[in-house]
Amino acid sequence: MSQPDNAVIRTKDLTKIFKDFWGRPRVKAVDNLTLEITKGEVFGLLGPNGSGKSTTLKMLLGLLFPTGGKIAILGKPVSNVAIKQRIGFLPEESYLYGYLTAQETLEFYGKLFDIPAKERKKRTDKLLDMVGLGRVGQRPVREFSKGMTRRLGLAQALINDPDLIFLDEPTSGLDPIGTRQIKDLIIELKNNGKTILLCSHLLADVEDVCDRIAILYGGKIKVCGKVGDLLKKHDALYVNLPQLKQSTIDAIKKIISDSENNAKITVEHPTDRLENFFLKIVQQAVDDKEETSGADVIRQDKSSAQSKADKPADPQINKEIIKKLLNKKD
Amino acid sequence: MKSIAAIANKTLLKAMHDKFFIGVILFFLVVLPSLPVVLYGDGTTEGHLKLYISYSMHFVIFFLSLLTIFMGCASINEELEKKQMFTVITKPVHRWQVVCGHWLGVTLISGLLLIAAGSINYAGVLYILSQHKDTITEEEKTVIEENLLTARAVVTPEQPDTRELIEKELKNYRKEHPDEDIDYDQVVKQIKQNLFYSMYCVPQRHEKLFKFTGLNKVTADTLNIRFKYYSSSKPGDATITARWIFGDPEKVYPVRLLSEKTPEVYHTIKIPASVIDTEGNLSIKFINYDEEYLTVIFPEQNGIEVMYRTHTFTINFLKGYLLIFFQLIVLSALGVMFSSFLSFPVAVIMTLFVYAIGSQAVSVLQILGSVSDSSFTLIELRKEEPLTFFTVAQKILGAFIRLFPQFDKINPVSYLTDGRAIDSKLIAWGLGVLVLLKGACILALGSIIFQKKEIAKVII
Repeated sequence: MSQPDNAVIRTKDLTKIFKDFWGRPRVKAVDNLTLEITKGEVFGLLGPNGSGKSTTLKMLLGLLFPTGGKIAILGKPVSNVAIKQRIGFLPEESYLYGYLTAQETLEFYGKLFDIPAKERKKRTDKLLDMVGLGRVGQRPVREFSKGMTRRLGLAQALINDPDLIFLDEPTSGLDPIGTRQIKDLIIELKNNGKTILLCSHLLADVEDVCDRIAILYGGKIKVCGKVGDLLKKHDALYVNLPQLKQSTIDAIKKIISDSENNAKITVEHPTDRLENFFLKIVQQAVDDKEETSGADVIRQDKSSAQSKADKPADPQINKEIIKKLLNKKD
Repeated sequence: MKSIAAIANKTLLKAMHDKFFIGVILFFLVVLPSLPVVLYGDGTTEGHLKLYISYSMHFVIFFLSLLTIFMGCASINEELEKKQMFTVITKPVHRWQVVCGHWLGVTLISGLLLIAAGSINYAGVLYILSQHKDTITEEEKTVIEENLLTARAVVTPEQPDTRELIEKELKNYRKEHPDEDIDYDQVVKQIKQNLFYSMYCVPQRHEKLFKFTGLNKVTADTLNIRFKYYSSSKPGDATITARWIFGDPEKVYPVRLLSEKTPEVYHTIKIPASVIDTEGNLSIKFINYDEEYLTVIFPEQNGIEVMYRTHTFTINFLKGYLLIFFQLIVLSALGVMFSSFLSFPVAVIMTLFVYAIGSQAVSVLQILGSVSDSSFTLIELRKEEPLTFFTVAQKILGAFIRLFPQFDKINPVSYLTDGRAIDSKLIAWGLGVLVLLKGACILALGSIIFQKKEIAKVII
């Protein structure tokens, strides 16, 4: 379980009541929320619309002020500007400046972090390459598709090599390749010791990358725990076998039926995930060097495009991305 | 500081990529150079120059002020509306730095445009001079150089303390009429009338002495005496004959002149600077020498002035543009401050309101009687009267208007069209009071408001 000394985000009885023009309380968006997120974990904040997850995220970032309760980010109050040196934030719709080019955008955010010019340039180039926008760095953001804007949004969130990253719907607007890349990146950032707080409606994405989740409803935490523990079905088993002869299947069925008092057994072929299937097709097109006007597709090993549920991401790919992000030398 | 510079730089880039803004600037940069051709005046070189300087500078002030207001009001507000502020506030940037960054960006754009406008404006003056080069007479050229394309300090005559004089007269009246139930207003009105008559009216064959002090710094060889008077009735020959004695005969060798000048317009008499005595004082005696029974009346203010050259027109012109820049600095602070908590149209309305009040502040204060520039403003006397709703409201309104930036105080147009020097005191006031005090207070207020503001928009 979480250790108090390791807590990167800690809220206690966090409450937010929205008031109307006359100061009368109208909506209790967050209700006595107590939460602790430890260093190095990917934490998913889930909930239906109006459940209070966005409000919570905005309070954690200082964009909204709590009505009650306490927040500590990296051990400091959220009003402390210095802690923002170690924070990255990708809002739900990127909200970038259309008149700036991708390069200028990252330069601008780099300047806000007071990163020296040389280092800024290096990081800008590497991040643009990493998110597949290296070729369009001089194009104004207003000409970008939603997916490209999202990628640039992610790059700006990582410009300062943050320890704590807030990602609000990071895969919205992205194609399956982009979604896969973002998910891979989240796993790599986690492997590198970063803490990530993820808000998303796309439950499959959350399931793929999060260590722990909290489900909010009516501003309160309904459930919080490790993804594996919460999803495990304790009253059924899944056995993965190679293709068997029909006679062997029948024999196994009989043995189980005899010993387990007529337990219900289903036998069928496993199906691939649509995401993996799609990526295989695209990978084929990339290998065939077919032209595209979209963002660059980072070539990856087959293994890295598979979901975490099927197999952990390839450690070789992980290292490459980490190196790009952190500007490390071999 | 780097954060402020980054935000300012982004504001500059925004302006450079904004098609509407570029269109407006192109319009400005086309209209301004065409003014020397479009405006022609009364046909004389002086008239042409005066009209051009006056109109072009008013145009520059008005246009750039509006542009600065619009840019300032669109700054923070637009980023809040488009939620771009989410990505800025979550970076290690103090909110006051965001306010200052936007202010600096808007001020830089306004400053750059002001430099362009000033260059075009000055080139316009040179163009007009070159256009009239072949037709201008030597006499006209001298008049322009001495009265328009110059920078002359202005000294007004010493004014007695009228309040003291009136109070003294009032006391005497009370002594002389101890048992009488005094109609206060009526008596003061009468005393004022008598005082005005004795101070500013010169009947036929009477004389009036004007005393000027503080002329020790005069380095010019000549002085210009600028004056205007009225007559009690229209003179038959349209002019009033007067004798002038410049200089105290007991201290210097005086200059005596006989003039025949029309009333109601300004005239200038050129005299040698040697009439100033060693202590820097100058006496000017005016004698109404007209044949008709007319009384000459000098206006309360600017009736007679001594002017002497202190520096060149170019330096004065630069000072004038510096004063305009001070105004733009404060306007951009106002725009940014209002945009930190109001929507764009409301912020524009509010800034325009402050701009309008500020552009008339000195005049309004004079009307309210809060400024005792006028010798006959007897605000202190009213202290003896009981406080009424009107007097309280007047004082509150006066104090309220004093809070506004007094833009009309630093309007340089009349200085440049009259060839009057913009003195360092005015520059220091503009910088110190207007920019460093009021401008900084406005920015601080904007920062405090923005600090308290929830950036994320809440829809209930």
